[in-house]
Amino acid sequence: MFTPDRPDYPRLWLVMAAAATLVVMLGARLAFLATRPPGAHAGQPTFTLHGARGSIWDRDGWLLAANRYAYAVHAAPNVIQDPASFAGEVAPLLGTSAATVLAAIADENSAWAPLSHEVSPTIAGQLRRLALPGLALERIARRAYPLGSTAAHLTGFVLDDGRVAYGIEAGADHLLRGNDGRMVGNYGSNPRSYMPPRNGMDIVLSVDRDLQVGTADILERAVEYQRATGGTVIVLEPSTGALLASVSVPAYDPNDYANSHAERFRDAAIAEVYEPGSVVKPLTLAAAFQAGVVNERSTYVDTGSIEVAGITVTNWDHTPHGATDMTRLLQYSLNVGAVHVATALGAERFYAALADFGFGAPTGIELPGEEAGLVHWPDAPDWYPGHLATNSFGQGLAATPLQVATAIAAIANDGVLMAPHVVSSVVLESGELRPVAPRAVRRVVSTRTAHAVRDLMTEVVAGRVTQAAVPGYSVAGKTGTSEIPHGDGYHPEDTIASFVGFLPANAPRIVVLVKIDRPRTSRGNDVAAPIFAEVARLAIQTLGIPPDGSHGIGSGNS
Amino acid sequence: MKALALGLVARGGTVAGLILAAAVLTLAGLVWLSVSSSLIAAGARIDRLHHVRATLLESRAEALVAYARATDPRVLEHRAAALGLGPVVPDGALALRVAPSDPAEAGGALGALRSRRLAVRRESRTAAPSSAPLSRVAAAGVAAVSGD
Repeated sequence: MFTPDRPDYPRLWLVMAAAATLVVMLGARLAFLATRPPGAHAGQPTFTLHGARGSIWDRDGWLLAANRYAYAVHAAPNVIQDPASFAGEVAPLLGTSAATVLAAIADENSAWAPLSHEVSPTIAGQLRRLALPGLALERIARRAYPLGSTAAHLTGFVLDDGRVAYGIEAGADHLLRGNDGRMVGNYGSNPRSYMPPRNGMDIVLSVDRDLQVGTADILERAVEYQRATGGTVIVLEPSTGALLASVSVPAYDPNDYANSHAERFRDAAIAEVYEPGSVVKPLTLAAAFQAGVVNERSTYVDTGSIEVAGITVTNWDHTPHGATDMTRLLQYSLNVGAVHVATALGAERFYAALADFGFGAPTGIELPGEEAGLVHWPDAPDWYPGHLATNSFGQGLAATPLQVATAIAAIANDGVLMAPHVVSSVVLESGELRPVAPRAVRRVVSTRTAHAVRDLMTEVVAGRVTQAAVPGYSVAGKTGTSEIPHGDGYHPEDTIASFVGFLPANAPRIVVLVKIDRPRTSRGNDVAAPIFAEVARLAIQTLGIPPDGSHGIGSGNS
Repeated sequence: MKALALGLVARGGTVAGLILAAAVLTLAGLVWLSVSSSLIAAGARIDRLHHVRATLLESRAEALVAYARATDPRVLEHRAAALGLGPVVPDGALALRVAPSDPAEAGGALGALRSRRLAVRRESRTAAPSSAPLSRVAAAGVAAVSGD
């Protein structure tokens, strides 16, 4: 009978058991690597993969802000074997002398020495090709603003450390910013440890680059000529509220923000308030027309001054104008007439209209730092009837230039107030362009009332402020010369000259607001109206606005 | 003899088991090596592609910004001025009027246009470089024109 060679079986089973154990261990390891959650990678190097920030474009696809890449150059002196040779090869590419590089790497025990905080990718490529031991390149993301100071207040800027400041960079940071990804260890060591970055979305603004640049040129020249302290021009599309151009000076260069004055970072168009002055008179008339207390044919006797609640309001020319209709009231910008109208309207309805036109509240534009303005509402403890009188012609209240432009745009838009916006569309990750729909805030006055006020404003330009006229186009507008608060009263000499208008008056395509701070010549029609006309002519060319048959000065058709 | 044969068979089974175990181990090792190496190779390829992509992105970004700067209206205006071009002087601006519907009248107006163009051409010979409006008038094909 066969007796198995028993001593062999234990060895066989031992080997088999060892093999099985190994297979089980390998399988377990595979299962572990395949199923362990991301993040359980202690001891392995983790690399952050930065999602690229989205670009900013104008309405026609011109670049306003984009990423640019640069490299910081470092050295590890403790690795460099021949410092003189190293310096000789690196220095020309860094645009410096070999002595400077040698001084930077003088401490041969040091593991890190900065050589240049920023070189271009081209230079970085040349440095990389040198393949020098001890030379390290660190990729850094920067932001480029091709228009420089021209669109600085719209774009804002991104600091070198990635923080955002001002403009659409800050206002739409949640869209522009990408999500960082992560990689643990080297590629292939664990596929599950790779989390790809997600790029930010591109943003298309409603701004027209050519109009923005041209407007900036016009404003800069005007401010310099007037020896003014600053100025703002806003161009709006009344039917949508789209911001076509917005320029404020003094400005700054976002490419070199570190060397700019910080007080210039704030966008005066939205973040600085002023007493708008007589440009409010059309709104006072609109409220009164809407309430039915006066109409475009109403008259009053202008005595040159009027006393309300202990304060005496006079016309700017200190002249009585006698029997005056609404056209003349607006043409000659008569404060006494505005007080008459506001008094007939009453405080409740006047302030309700002011609120409906958007005063005292931010417009909600996508730009950060917007001011709400200041209105003494009748329910405030410090309000008294004198406020109604002064507010009727735009003094004693404060608004941003954008608020004023938006309110006048409501007149141009048949009485419907549109929310101003600067983001026109967003480019999704798929490449799809998702437009941002214009938003109607409310109807402030009826179409009929809006047309009546528009006709009066057309007469202002046709009959008196001819500096704002544009041949071939009917223009509606209103000047404003406002005093500047100073101490307990107003500055004895300094004023703010402004003009706000739209064209073609019958079917408005643009609303333009011009504001000049402390000009050499004090009145709005001498200072701001010609700038309005120049900007309007530029907008006509840039946007392709056809003439409406008006032959310009003196036509006044509406 | 039979016992010897059975012993050999038993030994043969042991050897076969050992060979089988070695084969399984080798196979598992090969599979492991294959998967690992392909992963590492793919990782290295991804790394290279990432580098290429980064370089292309850098080039694209540089080109985009350079293009935007080169097409800045102020830069273009500066270059145009250097070439002797400039905006139309007020005297050179022409206002256009749409042609009347009557063909006979239109013919008369076209005659007026031609004579006007000739007149302005003569002026332009002496007053360079503001002849740009002329080409626009000619290209516009309008039936009537009048000085502004």
